[in-house]
Amino acid sequence: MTVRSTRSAQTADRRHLVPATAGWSGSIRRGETIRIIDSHGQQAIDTLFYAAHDTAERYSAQDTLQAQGSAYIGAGSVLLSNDGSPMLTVVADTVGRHDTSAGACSVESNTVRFGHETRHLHACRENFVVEAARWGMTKRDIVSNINFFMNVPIEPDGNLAIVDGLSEPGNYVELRAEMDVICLISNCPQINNPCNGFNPTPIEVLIWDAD
Amino acid sequence: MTRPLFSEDVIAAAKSRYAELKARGQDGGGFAARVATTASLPETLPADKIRLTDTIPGGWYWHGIVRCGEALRIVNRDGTHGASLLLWNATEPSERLNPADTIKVQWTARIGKGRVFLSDMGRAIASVLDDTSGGSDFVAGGSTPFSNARKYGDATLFNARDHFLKAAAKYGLGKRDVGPCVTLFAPIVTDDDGSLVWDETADLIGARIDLRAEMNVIAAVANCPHPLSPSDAYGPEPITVTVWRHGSPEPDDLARTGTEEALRTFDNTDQLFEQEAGGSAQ
Repeated sequence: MTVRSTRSAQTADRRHLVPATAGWSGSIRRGETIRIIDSHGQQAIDTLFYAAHDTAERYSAQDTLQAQGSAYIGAGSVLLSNDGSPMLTVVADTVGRHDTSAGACSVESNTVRFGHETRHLHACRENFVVEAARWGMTKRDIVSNINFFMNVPIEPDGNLAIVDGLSEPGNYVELRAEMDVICLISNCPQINNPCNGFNPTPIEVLIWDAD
Repeated sequence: MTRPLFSEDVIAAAKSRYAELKARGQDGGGFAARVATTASLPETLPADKIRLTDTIPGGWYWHGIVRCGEALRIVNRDGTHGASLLLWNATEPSERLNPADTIKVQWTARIGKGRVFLSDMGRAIASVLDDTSGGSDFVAGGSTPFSNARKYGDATLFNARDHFLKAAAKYGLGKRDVGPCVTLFAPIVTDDDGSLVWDETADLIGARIDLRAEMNVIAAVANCPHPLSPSDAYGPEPITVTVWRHGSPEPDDLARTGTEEALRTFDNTDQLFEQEAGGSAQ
C-alpha cells in the first residue's frame, strides 16, 4: 500500500542533505514530521530512533512487528519502543514495504557475507557508532534498525535475501513523532549487494514543525 | 543520477558475485544434505558430561555462564509455546547475540540444526548442535509487560523482557544491554502476504535444542510464552536446562563447516581466541 503526503516539500522547516555513504543524526520533537527521501532511488537508509528523555528507551523492531503481526514497515506502522510506547507513526509512504529484520551492515559481518577481502569497506554500523557518540551513546545502544527502501522478502520457507529495491527516484516515507526522539541515519554505503543498486547516492531529510 | 562511486566493471563483478553467493546460500551449497547426514544427539546425555541441570518453572527464568565448548540443552517436555534467549560475550558483554545478522548472513530466518548464532562482531556466539523443535523465532521477539497486557489483559504476568532485565542486572548489565532476542520453540513463519503466523504443524512436545557456546557466554533464558502463540491463556510449562561438556569439535563439525559463511564466521571467532592467547594458540 502506498500513501502520498499532503505536504509540499517547499514548506519544510528544516532540510538536510545527507551525502552518499554518510551518517546523520538529529532531534525531532513530538508532533513534528520527518520525511526521508530516496532522492535517486534504490538507496537503503538505515534508521534508528531513541527517546530523547532517556535513550535507554529506543525503537524495538521485534516489538513493533509483533504488535502489528506482520513482517514489514509501511504506511500505518506504529514504531514501538522497547517500553511499548509509540515513538513515531508512518503517515505516508510511496514505496509500500521496508525491512526491519535484517539489521545494519558492519565491517565485521561484511567479512562473513562477502569475504575477508571486503574488510576495508565502510559500513552502516560505523556510521551509527559515530552518530550515537554525539548523543552520549555507544555500540551497546545500537539495536536492530529500520532499513527504509531496503527490500528483504522473508519467504514462507524462511528464505531471506536482500533483493532489488522497489524505490524510484524521489520516493519517500514520512513519519509523525509521537514523542521527542533522536534519529540516527546511515545512508548505506554497501556495495556488495543490491540494497543500494550497487551505487550509493545522496538522500534528503525534511522536517516540519508541529502543526 | 549522480556519478557512480565505482566503475561499471566493479559494479558488474559485485552483482555477479552476489548472485553466486545467494544461489549457494539458498541451498546450491548443499547445506540441507549435510544436515540430513549428520547424526542427532542422544536423548540422554552421558552423566559424566553434565555440569548442571535445572528445571525452570513455567513463567520463571534461568541465567548462567556457559563456557566455550560447553553446550546448553533445553528440553521442552510439555510443549510450552516458546522460551526466549539472550547471549552476551562474558568477557566483553558489548558483544552479544545479533538476531538480524544471524538470519541475514545465513540467508534464512529458519535457524535450526547446523546453523550459527552470530554476534554483532561477525563471530559465532553459539551454534545449533541439534534442534528437534521445528523452529525458533528471530523476527518477532519475546513477551513484554505490554504484550501480556495486549494478549491476556494482565501486564503483571511474568514476561521475557523483565526477566532479561533481572538476569542482565546480575552481571552488572542494564536496560541498554537488553536488545533483540531469539525465542526458541516458537515456529513463527512469514506467510505470502507478510503476516507473522504460528506454524501449528510444529510438534513442540518433547522437543529439545542443543546450543554450543562458541565463546564464554552469559546466557539468559526466559520461560515465558511467545506473544504470537495460538493459545489465548497464559500457560507456560516447565522446561529443563542442562549445561554439558561438548569438547573440541571434529574437523567436519556441521556448524563450523556447513556453509561458506559459517567457515568465515569461525575464521573470525578463532582469530579472537588467537589474539587473546597472545598469538600462541595452535
